[in-house]
Formats: sequence, structure tokens, C-alpha cells
Amino acid sequence: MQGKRAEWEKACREYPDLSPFVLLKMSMVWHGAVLTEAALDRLQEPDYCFGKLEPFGISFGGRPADKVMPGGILLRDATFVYINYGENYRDPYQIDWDAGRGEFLLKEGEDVIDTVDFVPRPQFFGKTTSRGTPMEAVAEARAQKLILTAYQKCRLWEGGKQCHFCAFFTGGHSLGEVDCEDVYETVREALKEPGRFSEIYLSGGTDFGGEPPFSREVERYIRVLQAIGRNFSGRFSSQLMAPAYSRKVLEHIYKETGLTSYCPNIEIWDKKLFQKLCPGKEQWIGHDEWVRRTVDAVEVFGRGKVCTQVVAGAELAGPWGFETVDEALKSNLEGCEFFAKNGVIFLSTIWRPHRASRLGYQPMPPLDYYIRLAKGLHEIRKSYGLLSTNDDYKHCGNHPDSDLERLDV
Amino acid sequence: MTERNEGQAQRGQEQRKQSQGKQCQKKQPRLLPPSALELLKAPDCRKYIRFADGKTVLFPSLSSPDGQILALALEEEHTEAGRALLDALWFSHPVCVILDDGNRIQGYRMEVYRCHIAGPLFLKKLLEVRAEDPEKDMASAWELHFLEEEELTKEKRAALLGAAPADRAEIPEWHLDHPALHGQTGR
Repeated sequence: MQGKRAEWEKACREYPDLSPFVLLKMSMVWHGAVLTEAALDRLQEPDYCFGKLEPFGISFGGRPADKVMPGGILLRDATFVYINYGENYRDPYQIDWDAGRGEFLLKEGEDVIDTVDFVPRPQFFGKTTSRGTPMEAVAEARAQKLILTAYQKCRLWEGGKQCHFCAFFTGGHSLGEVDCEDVYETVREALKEPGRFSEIYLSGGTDFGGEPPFSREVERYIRVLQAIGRNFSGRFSSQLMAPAYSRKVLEHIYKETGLTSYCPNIEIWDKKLFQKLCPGKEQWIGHDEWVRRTVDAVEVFGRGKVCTQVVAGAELAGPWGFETVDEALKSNLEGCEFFAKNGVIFLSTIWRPHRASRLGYQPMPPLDYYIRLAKGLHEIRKSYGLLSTNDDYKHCGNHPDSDLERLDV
Repeated sequence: MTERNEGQAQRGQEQRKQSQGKQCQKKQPRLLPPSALELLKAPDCRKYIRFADGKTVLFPSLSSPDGQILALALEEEHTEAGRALLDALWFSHPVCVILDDGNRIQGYRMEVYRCHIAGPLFLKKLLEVRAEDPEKDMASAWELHFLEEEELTKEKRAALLGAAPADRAEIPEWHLDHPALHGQTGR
């Protein structure tokens, strides 16, 4: 069997124009990574120790109860790598702590691939709001991105209508609706740390309640964005990840808040597969309407300020998925081309099968699929002059295709 | 594409092929030579980086935080300077750091080793930038490792005359604590 280094080096030779770091990131997400005891111990220290509470609360079985999981990994070029710590990987990389060098090392067995780092602990972690809420339960942090979750459950799970690849809020520690004063105070505290954040990201589980449907959710997002906005004198770099709302609703949100970008994730581009894999989204909005509203959003937020993401690989999952990676690639590149023509940034994220999701644990498409997809999406968007300033390596880090944009003019 | 450009593009491809897969491998940095530290101490030392394509940029923020490595503050990333640093890191294109204190000029071949967007080195460089001007910001800090001393040819010296500080991005790249976002500046 080909080792991970050999596979990565082969990818580097076959795709000489792609960043070796982005290729390494894809390999790490694909294979997974585990932390050695020495690394995990080092990551409990104050400069790295993350919070015990996670707003997206995904359930993982393989996490030691007495240790806190760290933030994401940063490669030497600051490429962000999100690893599901505690997942049961078949052949993962190891991340070790070398006390002599004072560095974390990415390894395959005894072979050192490179030195890596972790997102440092933000200074607001460990603090509480005036209501006594731990701030780490209100906001999560990446290297430059502050992540807030307005509603820590997803009502699409009612009646089994959740997206079939989703495992959010399965950890059992979610708080439901976030308190706006907690949000205001947490953001205020986060901004005290110099240069720590350059974007605020707001999302949450879907709540279709209210009349018309989603009105309760929309008003909640407005309240939360207004609470965040009390910390600023005008608009602030921010993104709302939410269902596809009508133009009228988006104009209302834009007018009432300091929001600057919007991300209604379509998850699956192919219409028939969307209907199968995202039954709740299909029931409440529908594929065609989702697409139409995403395009309309450009008139509110501007070209390049509306993104939509696919969970790449889920379109190949059984029992309904495409049979070949070429079919899947063709479908996604068509989606990207369509959206790019309309000023929308179409991004991919790498699907990691999770046993708590309805698709369960099943094989992922080959790594080469993800490389070809990232390359193809980047090339299409580049040809339309689109640059993801809100979903790039620094402000998200989940999209290998936008990691590749860093050299674009 | 002209013949010359095609030739350059092919050479670039070849260089990239040769460097792929080697780039991410771990190695211990060599320490900066004493001459570099002496030049950096001079108050009017001019600090340049000449990139593999010949572009030469002034980086006044270049300093050694620990006597072992060099670090610089990049104000904005969506710039030619930002892309040049990233290209050097991604594709193993060493750069030439040139230090000139008016009496002595010296070149150092260096590896662009790491980009910091958070953490201690990032914070140190950011605070240096803001101490100089509270309305300035910094997108990232870059860490450079010494490889060897480099002879400065006539061509390299000539390029210094046209060198300018890093260019500016079309859209300011501010952090969320920048005073402009809090009504604390006239911008």
C-alpha cells in the first residue's frame, strides 16, 4: 500500500502548480490525524488550551474525557486544517510534540513530514458573561475568524429531515437559542485581543418556525447581528451562513444589520441528489428556489459577497450517489460555472463521513477527486475574476479551492 | 505569450516540479550570521527582499526577534508583495535579503519559512506596526530562515535603486479591532 508521504509527493508531482501545503491539507483531512499523548498534553497548556464546550457540538467517541481538544491545525503557510479529533481513522497521520525543538511535528510513523502549529487559545476563553455564560460556549475561534452560533440545534432533524451527511448538535451539550447580551459581551471581549479576528461568522441550525416560515429565525439573526454590531460604528466584516432567503428578507437583514456577506449552502448541486440528501431543505425551500434566491442575493450583498458550499463527496455516497468521480466532478463544475456567471462563489468542503449522520460511515471518494475538484473550482472562479475574501484560507479554511486563490490577482 | 515568456514559464514549471514534495519537509534553521545582526542594529539600515523573479521590495519592518530568524510585517496580503512571499514559501523559491546601512551592504540567501496569522510572533510584529501608527494594521507576519551569505551582483545592486515599499491592496485589510471600525479615526 502506498504511504501517505508517497501519495502526497505523487500529487505534488502531478499537480506542480498547486500549493504543496494545500495538497497536504487535503491529504490530512482525507486520512485524518491523531494526537500523541505528548502533543495532547502540550495542548492542555494555557497558550493552546481550547474550551470544553463547542457550539456545533458534534459527538465523537474517541476523545479522552479528561483532556480538552485543541483548535484547528495551521500549516507553515497558515493553511488551516480542520480535523475531527477523536474520529476512528483507518490510517491517520500522527501529530507529536517535540519538546527539544519546541514544535509540533506532523508524522507518518517515524517519518517527519513537517512542523505544524495549532490555532492559539483566544483570550476570551475561560471568561464568563455577566449572565454567567462561559464565553467559549457562545463563540468558537479559528486563527482569524470568530464563529457564533445563533441557534444550537437544527429543526430539520424533526421527523428525520436533516441533511444526510450532517452530525451537528449530536453531542448533547447545545444551548438552543443564544442570548444577545452574551453575544455582545463575548464579541466585545474578543475584540480586546489585538489583531486576533478579522471576520465574524454567524450561523446556526435551521429553524423554520414562524409565519411566514423562517421568520422566527430571520428575526433571531437580526437580533444577534445587531448585538454584535453594537461593538462597531458601521458595517463589519461578517458572514451569515443561513438558508436561502428571499431577496426581500435579505434586504431587510442587510438594512437592519452590519452584515457584509451571505452564504446559503446548497450542500449538493445535483437537483435529484439534493432532494434525496437534503430532504428538509427541499421541503421548506426546494432546489430551484434555493438556487434562484442565492443568485438574487448578489443584488443585495454584491458580486463575490455571496457564497454557497457543497459537501463534496456526499454526492458520491451510497445508495443514491453518482457512480463515478467523473460524473460527480462534471456536476460540481457545472454548478460552479453557473454560479460564477452570476457572481456567486461556489465552494467545496471535504465530506468526512460520520457515524452519527444518516449516511453513516462509508468510504470517501479518492483523494485525487478532491484535488481535481479544488483545482477545477478555483480555475472557474478565477476565470470570472471572483475572489473569496470572506471564505478564504484565513476567514474560513474549510475550502481547499479558496486556499488556492492566494496567488490570484 | 512571447518566446521569452514561454521560456520563463517552462523554467518556472520545471523549478516547481523539482521543489514539490520537498517543500514541507522539516529541517533545523541555520542561525543568522553576526554581520546581519550588526547591520540590523544600524538605525538607518535599509532592508530589502529580492524575490526569485527579480522584484525587489523594501521591508522596513524586517528584524530579528530572537537573533536567529528574520521576521517582517506584511500590511496587506492581496498585493504583489504578499503574492511574492507566498510564492517563495509555496514553491521553495529562496529570496535574497539585502541589508544596507549606508557604509556596508550585504546579501543573505533566505528561505521564506512560515506565515503567521495568529500567535506570539504575529502579535509581536503587529504591536510593532501599531506602535508606529495606531491606524496601521498588518495582515500577516513572515518568518525567514538563513541559508547562506549571497554575493551581490551589479544587477542586484542596481535593482535596489528602483525598490519601493510593499504595494497596497485595493481594499484595506483591517482586523476587527482597527480604530476605523469603531469610529475612532477620520478614515
